[in-house]
Amino acid sequence: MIDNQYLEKKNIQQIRKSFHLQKELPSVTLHSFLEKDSYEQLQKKILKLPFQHQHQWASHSYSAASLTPETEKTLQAVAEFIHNLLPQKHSSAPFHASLFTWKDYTILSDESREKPGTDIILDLTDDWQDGAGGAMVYRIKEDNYVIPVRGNSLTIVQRKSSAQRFVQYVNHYGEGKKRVFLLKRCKS
Amino acid sequence: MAFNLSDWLHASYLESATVKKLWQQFQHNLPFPYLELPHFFLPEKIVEVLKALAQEEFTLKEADLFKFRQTADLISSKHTVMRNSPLKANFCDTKGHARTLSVLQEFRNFLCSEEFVSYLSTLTNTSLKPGEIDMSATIYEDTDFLLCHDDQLESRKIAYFLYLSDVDTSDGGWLNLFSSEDGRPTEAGKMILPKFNTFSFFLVSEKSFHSVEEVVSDTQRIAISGWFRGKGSDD
Repeated sequence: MIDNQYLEKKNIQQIRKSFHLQKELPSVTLHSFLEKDSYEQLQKKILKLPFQHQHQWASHSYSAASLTPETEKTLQAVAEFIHNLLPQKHSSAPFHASLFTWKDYTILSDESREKPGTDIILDLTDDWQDGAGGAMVYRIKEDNYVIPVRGNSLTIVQRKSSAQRFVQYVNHYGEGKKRVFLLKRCKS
Repeated sequence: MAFNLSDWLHASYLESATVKKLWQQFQHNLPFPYLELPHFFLPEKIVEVLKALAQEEFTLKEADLFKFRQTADLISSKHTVMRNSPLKANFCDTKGHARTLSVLQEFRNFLCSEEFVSYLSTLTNTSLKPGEIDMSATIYEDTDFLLCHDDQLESRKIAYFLYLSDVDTSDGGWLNLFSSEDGRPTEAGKMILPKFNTFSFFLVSEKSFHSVEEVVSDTQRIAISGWFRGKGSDD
């Protein structure tokens, strides 16, 4: 399932090193993470999920879906990879699927503040224009750390208490397109 | 420094019958108290303000809630060097540079003068504090937006917008005023389409949810906006 390059010991060590480079927001993004067939199959399964649109004007607008137990099982390899990469105690939180299209967004608020933890983001978005918005952003005080939209990438972010996460407003260049990702929120 | 309202405002807005009518409209407008006043200022005054803005520095502001370009508070307008304007029309005038600075300061001084604040206090039936306002200019261009929020901060009493460009519905960029229930916005109840020299304002409260629709064309939505403060509020 996972591309072989990421299973090599020397690469895992390098990834761990990269993860800890940024002290404010330890994180790493792994591109072309899944093997091509696995990625396409997973993407197909996720896009068939019954997404429900959630909308509170002053808080968020996007569609969400829970994964089937079968799909969660196929992602077990990803969970094991992360556990091997960062041997910390992670909760067995499931992945949730989120879908953003034109006019979708999330807004930071006291209500959306989460406890410190680790975010695992598996991006399933293809054919996305960089200027369309929709990127995941981590805000620490006045600084924004942007995770660009890139299909078949796995991003691991260690959120300290000062970091808050939001998804940029998707503008009209995202019309007719789908920005989809899986997010697993692990408590530290 | 004393100001004459008639030197700045269209005469029709100074007639007592109009003032009374507007006062009533403000109280009863939905989804929350607001007014939209077209052709508000004398045109020659506003053209000078727009020309002056051409010399201000606009900085990109981007966060979860918004994306647009904005000046610093115009109280600090004190540049002395000509620079490239982000405004499409070039209004730069080297001869009148010194006058350009004073135009914005003068406009700001008028807006927070005893005379105008008293006038606005009457229209809105609120006690506003002269001598102090927030005032900055914004430019919204393609993909710029402002998501839904209520503007509530301690001292803000009246939020205002002076539109300095025309926008059509096909451009986006309109101001949405939202209905609300139990402290949450429910739907966009009123749409205000920016038109040159329209002065709009609303009462800031736990109900004053509003947003600026994304601009979706190659246009510039230019405005000066900010807040009047209530009397008795801390600085």
